[in-house]
Amino acid sequence: MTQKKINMKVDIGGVVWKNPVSTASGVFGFGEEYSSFFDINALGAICLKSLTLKKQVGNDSPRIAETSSGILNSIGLQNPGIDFFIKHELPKLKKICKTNIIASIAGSSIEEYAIIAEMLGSNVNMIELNISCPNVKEECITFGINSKSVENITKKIKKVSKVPLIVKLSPNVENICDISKAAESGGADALSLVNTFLGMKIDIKNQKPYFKNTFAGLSGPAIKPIALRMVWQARLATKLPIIGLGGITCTNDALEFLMAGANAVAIGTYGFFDPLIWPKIKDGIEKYLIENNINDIKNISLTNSY
Amino acid sequence: MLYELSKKKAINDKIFDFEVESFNSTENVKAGQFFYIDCGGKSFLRRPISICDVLDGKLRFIFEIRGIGTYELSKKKCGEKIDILGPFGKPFNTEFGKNKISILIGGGIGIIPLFKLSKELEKVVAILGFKTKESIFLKEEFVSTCDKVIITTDDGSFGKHGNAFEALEDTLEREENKKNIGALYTCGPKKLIYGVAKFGITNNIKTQVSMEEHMGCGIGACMACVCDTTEGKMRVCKEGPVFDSKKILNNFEE
Repeated sequence: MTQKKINMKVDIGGVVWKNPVSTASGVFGFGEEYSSFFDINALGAICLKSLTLKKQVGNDSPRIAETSSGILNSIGLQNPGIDFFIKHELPKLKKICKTNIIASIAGSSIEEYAIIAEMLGSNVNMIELNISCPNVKEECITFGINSKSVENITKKIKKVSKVPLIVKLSPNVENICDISKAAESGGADALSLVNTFLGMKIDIKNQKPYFKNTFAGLSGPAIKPIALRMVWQARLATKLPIIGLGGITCTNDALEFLMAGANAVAIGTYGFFDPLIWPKIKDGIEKYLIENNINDIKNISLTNSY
Repeated sequence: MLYELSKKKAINDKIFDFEVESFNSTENVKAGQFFYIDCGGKSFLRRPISICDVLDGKLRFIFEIRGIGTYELSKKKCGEKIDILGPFGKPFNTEFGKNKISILIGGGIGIIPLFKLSKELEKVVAILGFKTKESIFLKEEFVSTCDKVIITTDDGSFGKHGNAFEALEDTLEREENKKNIGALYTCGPKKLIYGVAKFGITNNIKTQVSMEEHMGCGIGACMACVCDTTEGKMRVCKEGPVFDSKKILNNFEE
């Protein structure tokens, strides 16, 4: 029996991904580490660690804590800065990476975001605006928490970006639908949601907050049902392509996000446990489509009919 | 990779001695490196466990129950398969000890990676610090691999009264020709390793320390397990766990 041709390709804001699986920003470094575990070109895209204008030293340890079915992190965007990235990391990555590269960017002012986007030019395939990092004291997160500022920053960065723009949404907002619409009217080419939830841990032995920044970002399976609900809501609020993420650990989780209306998925935290999770989920989705006689990944969304 | 737990022994109610069958070549496993282990149960992240020994293609791990992960790991039964990644991280540099005396200074479970190291070096003095006589372990094995073993206990119930650092100062004072000492290698509580690091610099002896932090990915991608160094915050899983003492100078005042 000849195998039926299945379409796994998706269009994310004008960029064709060969399949709907990507890495989430922050967990994947600049691609080098995981490339010794699997062929990163098997993925639809890879999303890199957030870049800032200047080198960031990041937060003091501890930076991570395990929770029930998840983790809290307080990394604080440690990265070598955009200049170093373009000169040293990107050429290294380009040698091994033929799939779409998404550069995640973060800043403490709109001007900083704009300079980074301009410097990246068309050296990457997409830019993801991280306006929702909970782990830096500066303004990064405040850009993401109200509709007006989301629309404003999206508009300004869209103007200077040479490549399609993804806006990564914070779940720590009053109304995810309003925020999604704000990114859409600001000119975003795609959305990704959700970033981590604001959480905390208390060190009862020393009787003080466990993290130096008091709060930290919660990710992992613990947040999946909430992330899924938000993707569903965002899907009904906008026409933009959505990259769904938040606690995905297996093919079934990824399928839930795709059925909720995400056009693609990203996996982050679970990669710490299983460094092969990304290609496994890609293969798993394909197998599901074949077994269920669905010839196109685009046909599995349930929200089309809502 | 799944490895079968072939031998398990409880050293005391907190410390366990595991031997697992390895299908990979164990030749490249070096002292100071760690394996990243799925402990099972309710734990979500893997736990970094440093290698204690490699024998006939088997890996030996000794670990202490510190929290939920190591507790779950301690419940594994012989014959059970354990999901293990590694080895990861930078090992101890044994070149420093060549043709000279190496001094290993370990405190508590910090002695574990030093055991494999004692087999990789030539002339070795091991200074092993414990809380009490009851908490001593691996003593006979260190005796078989080292030229000299000094045991200290905090309460004086066995060996020298005091801690491993004090015993190090004492040993160095007695050593007539300090040039015979190639390097100091240390692992254990922060206070001990910073003390040894500082001591090494003051006495102009090459010193390597093994650091510890909670880890995320274990392979250098997530930046969770950093420690302060003279070159900024560096990853314990990738640039470490073993660092030259001069690099961790920043931390002395802690």
